[in-house]
Amino acid sequence: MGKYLIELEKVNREIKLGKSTVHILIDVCLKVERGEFIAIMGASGSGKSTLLNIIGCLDEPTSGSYLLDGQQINGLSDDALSRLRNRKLGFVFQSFNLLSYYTAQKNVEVALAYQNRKDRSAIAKDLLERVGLGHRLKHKPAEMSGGEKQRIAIARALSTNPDIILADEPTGALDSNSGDQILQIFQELHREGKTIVMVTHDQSIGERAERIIRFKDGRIDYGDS
Amino acid sequence: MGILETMRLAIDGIWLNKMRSLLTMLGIIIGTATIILVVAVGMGSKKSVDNQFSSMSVTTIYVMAGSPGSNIQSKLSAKDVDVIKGNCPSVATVAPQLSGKAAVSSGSTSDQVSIVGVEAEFKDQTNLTFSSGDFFSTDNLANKEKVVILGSDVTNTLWGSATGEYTGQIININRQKYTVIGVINRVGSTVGNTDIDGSVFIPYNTAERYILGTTATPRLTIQAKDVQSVNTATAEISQALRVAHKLRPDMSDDFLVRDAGKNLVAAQDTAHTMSILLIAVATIVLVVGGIGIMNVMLVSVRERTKEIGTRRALGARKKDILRQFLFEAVALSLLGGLLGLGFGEAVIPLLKYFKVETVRSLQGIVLALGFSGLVGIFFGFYPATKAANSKPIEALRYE
Repeated sequence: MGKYLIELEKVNREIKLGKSTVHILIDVCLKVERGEFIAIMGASGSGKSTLLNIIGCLDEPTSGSYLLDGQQINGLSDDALSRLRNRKLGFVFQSFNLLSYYTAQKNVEVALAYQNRKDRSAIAKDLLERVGLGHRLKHKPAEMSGGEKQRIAIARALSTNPDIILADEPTGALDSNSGDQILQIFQELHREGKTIVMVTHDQSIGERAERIIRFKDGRIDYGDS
Repeated sequence: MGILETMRLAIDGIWLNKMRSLLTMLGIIIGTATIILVVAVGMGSKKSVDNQFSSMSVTTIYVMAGSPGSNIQSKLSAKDVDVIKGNCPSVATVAPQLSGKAAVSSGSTSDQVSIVGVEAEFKDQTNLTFSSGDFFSTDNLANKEKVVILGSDVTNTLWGSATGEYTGQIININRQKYTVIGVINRVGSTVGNTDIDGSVFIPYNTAERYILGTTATPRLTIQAKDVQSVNTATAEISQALRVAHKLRPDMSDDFLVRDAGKNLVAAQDTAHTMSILLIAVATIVLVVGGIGIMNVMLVSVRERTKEIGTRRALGARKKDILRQFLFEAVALSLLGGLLGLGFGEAVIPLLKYFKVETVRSLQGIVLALGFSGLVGIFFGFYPATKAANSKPIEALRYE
């Protein structure tokens, strides 16, 4: 107990479509230690995003158990899950998901606002400086490049100082140069001890992580070697 | 997220879509303005009814010549006064009144004014007060003296001021000289059908003799003994007059009996019906406005599905999302309410200009704002619930 930050045991996720049941995840077992940087890889539809959503407490397994930092997630209330997402998890999405009517700084403050943190503007400024956007605090997402938007999103994910950063194809909408910058930030965060779980279908990106989990048809592909 | 923060979020949401917000609020603006106007006009008409009847006792009964729905020529005469006095035990006093128009002048100023011939009872029946002088003395009345009492509008017409020491002044009525012995304080309303402020009062016999002639038909103002005997008195009067006028049972009355209480009740009923009608209209407008808000909020929730998903991923609870959208709906309708309030208040002077009696009131404002707030809560609740209950992953995936 407590050794692993993420501990999935025989997790299944099924979706009922009319009369047939689609098995998206089948008996997935996965243990991630604190401070690891792992990449989940697989073709589209292999179930990797669903796994990320379950780890991110956005989706719940149909069966199996999920321990996040030793805490059983199954059966928690919606409010408790919201609280976990807010405190322990930071999300980075492929399409950034920034709020278009907010400035960069305001976007970074959103998660902190749900904690009623008074020092949120100072935290947001620090983080934006850290990702190299200290000069663009008052700009809105529409005025920024994809790479810059994703850096705002990373600053936002870091704002509540979560245990885990979850990234779903974080470079998928970026050119290779910007994508590289993002990965460098991830690697830096990893060196500082953050746990990072990244979903990607791109081998060269996956290789920047410490460990690669491959997915195939809803199962972890341990390889036949 | 704190309440204040959520409120700011709601106001941001409104401000960022100014045009859409304004269109959304239009129904509420109109509804609130309607309520403000309805209350102002409703209370205004109640006030004018009250004014009209404040100087009238509920025991007063009027008898006029004429017959409803026919043109039977009839006369009430001074003789009828004695008939009623003699045959109606429930009647306390009877006073005839003669009225007509005549040219009144003082110096070079002249005007057609209504002339009312009255008896001693008139003073008690109307509760008049005098700015100068007093009511006719018994001698004035008995001796057909040429003395007059003026309404305040009349002195205003003749001498340019409503009050002043006018007793002893001489005025001409139909080129005959009359001495002013009293001026009545401004009443501002009619008593019975008599416009006190705009009339010249003279002793009954003087009027009959010198101005209006014996062919003029008097109107009788009668006081019943007390409120309970008004109905009995009315019946007694009808009966006595029918006998005196020799009407056969198949003939309809050639006179009208009206009691003040009935007039008051009728006027109040009318004002009341009017208010209810207007309030119904205002309510419908507000409900339609509320449906408008609900529509726009539903569209807004759909448009912002991805935002909802993102906020949920960042830790917003259902409660936070519910509040955000509910506050937005309430803020929209309250803002619409405030705009409507301003609009309504701005229209009130215009109504005054068209001589519609209005009363500004706190009740109207509270009612209008309260109602618009309630509309926001009621019609914002469904869209907000919908937003709060959308599943985070589905909301995130929504394009």
